Amino acid sequence: MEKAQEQFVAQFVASQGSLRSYIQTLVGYSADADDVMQELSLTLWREYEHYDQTRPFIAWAFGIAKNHIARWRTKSAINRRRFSPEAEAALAVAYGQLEDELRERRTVLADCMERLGQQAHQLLDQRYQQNFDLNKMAELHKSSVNAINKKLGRIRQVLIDCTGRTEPI
Amino acid sequence: MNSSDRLNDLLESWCDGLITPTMASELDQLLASDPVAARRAAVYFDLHRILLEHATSKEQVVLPIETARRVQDSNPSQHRSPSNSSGPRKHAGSQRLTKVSGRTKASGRNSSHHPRNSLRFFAAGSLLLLTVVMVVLFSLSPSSDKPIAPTVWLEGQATVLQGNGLVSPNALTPGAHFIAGSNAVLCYADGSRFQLKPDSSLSLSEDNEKQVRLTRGVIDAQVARQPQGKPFRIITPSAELVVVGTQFRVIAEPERTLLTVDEGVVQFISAGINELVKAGGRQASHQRQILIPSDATWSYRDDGVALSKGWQISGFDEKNWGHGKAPLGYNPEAPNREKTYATIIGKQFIQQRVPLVTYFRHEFTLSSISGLRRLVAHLRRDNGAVLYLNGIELGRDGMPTGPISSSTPALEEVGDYNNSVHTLIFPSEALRVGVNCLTVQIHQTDAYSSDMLFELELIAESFEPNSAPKP
Repeated sequence: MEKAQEQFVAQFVASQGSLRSYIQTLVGYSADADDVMQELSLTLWREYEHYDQTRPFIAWAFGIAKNHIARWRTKSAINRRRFSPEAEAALAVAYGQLEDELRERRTVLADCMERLGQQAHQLLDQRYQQNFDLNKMAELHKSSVNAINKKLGRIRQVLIDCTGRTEPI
Repeated sequence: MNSSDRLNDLLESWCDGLITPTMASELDQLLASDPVAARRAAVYFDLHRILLEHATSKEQVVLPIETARRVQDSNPSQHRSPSNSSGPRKHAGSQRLTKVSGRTKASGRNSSHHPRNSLRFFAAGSLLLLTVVMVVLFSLSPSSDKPIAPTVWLEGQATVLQGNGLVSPNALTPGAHFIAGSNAVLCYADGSRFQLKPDSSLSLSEDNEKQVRLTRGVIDAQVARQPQGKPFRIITPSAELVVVGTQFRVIAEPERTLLTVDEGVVQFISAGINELVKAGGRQASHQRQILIPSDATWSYRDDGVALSKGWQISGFDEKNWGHGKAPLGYNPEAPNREKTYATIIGKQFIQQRVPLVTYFRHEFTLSSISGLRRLVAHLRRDNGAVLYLNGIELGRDGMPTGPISSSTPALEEVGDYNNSVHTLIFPSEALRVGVNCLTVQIHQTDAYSSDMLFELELIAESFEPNSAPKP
């Protein structure tokens, strides 16, 4: 039993980042996503004894995650579908394929952020730490919403490029 | 604008809440029709999620244990509890961390607002999730409610296992086992703090609140001065550290333990080592190399004949020998004997007189013997055993002194189902580069013995360069 626990935790910890990103992409960045993730975790743990160890854990987990998202849509009566079923399926496949890469990217993200300049830090701080909307940021920077969106886009792209490098820069 | 730039535009707009229905439809079509676009989007969404999450989760990382709260409730003036409420609270404890093992830790409001520092909390949302899971599962899982200490708690992220399930860090009890996530710190009310690197595996002792077992990983420890005779103890797979009050780092790997002391003194106890390591000093346990695993495949001869010379060295012709995985043996009376023995041998002797001796051979290859200082054998034997390495007797266990022949009986009967492991230590001089041959004779006390068992693990130990214990 303890071995099963250890194994479950190891597999769940390895996959939870991709699962969370997938759920938040489909459900939205809200408490709802936390609820879905929480219920998913419980289901995965309860059903773990039925998990076929010969299959990739993440594929099994994504299958159950899709059911939970569908159930959330029915229950919440929001039925807000951001993407078509085809696009959602394509994203699930992508997250499954990129599981190891995304984990590696998350590992080096902090180091990549250290390389950003002061203005980039300020923009990220306002957008993500202080949760400013782009109108407020445009006002603060005496700029346009579009320009702030582009700047944030460039910063995110720099981080994506940096975390994707296999060798330290 | 090419499709790649267009995808970037759409993703940027999506992440910043500027996407229009038309753009959303366009993005949808791209994701559904182009796997490369779907993968790029997954990378983008994952980054966006982490940036959002680390910004919102820093309020949720302290997980006080139930007992700390109880004490706090009963005597609020005497103890500094990590929490005054049952809900998550700010990560105030970490602000007391200043410098540990030469590394400055984040402290104060300004540093926590730095994107990199706050990023370290990015997975705390996952912690919240796991915490909730654990709380629910805790109600399903039996576990002790014995408090481990008046005030000991866990900060940061950790997965806590106990009994038959995941449990809540709020229900930390003796024997709890942590797998550290980000910023996991085990804190004691006396100010002692054990900061764990992610994936470190730590257990609390069942019966000693100041004893922890580090199965693997790294601890940066800051231990407050302890009362005389009541030191902290950190147990690793290969060493024991006794700490009265100091700052140090310990790295536990499966085969060795490394200690670096920044301040004070730490007693380092390991096989062949009992050292007081002072500030600025380092110490390493013996390196261990498993030469023969406990489930190794052995060649065996179970017909009791006297063997000719040469069977104890490599290259011997094993014609008429059987082969099987350890543990090997027989006991017709044993329940679940198929589980007790990986290989059942001696079937032909059931309900007959049994041979007094059974022979076992195993060959292994070493590319170097440099630095190997001694051999450690973990042996299970019924009844007695004599071990030879490359034809030279290493030692014997449960056997008389003097010459050994195929008719020499073991000293005493080993009780049925007695599976105790005997640890034997030998010099390593008989090892050689190339093929080595370990042979074992298992002897019975008489020809009417009801059972036989053999299992052996052989380990070679050496010393870490530049850290050999003083003579």
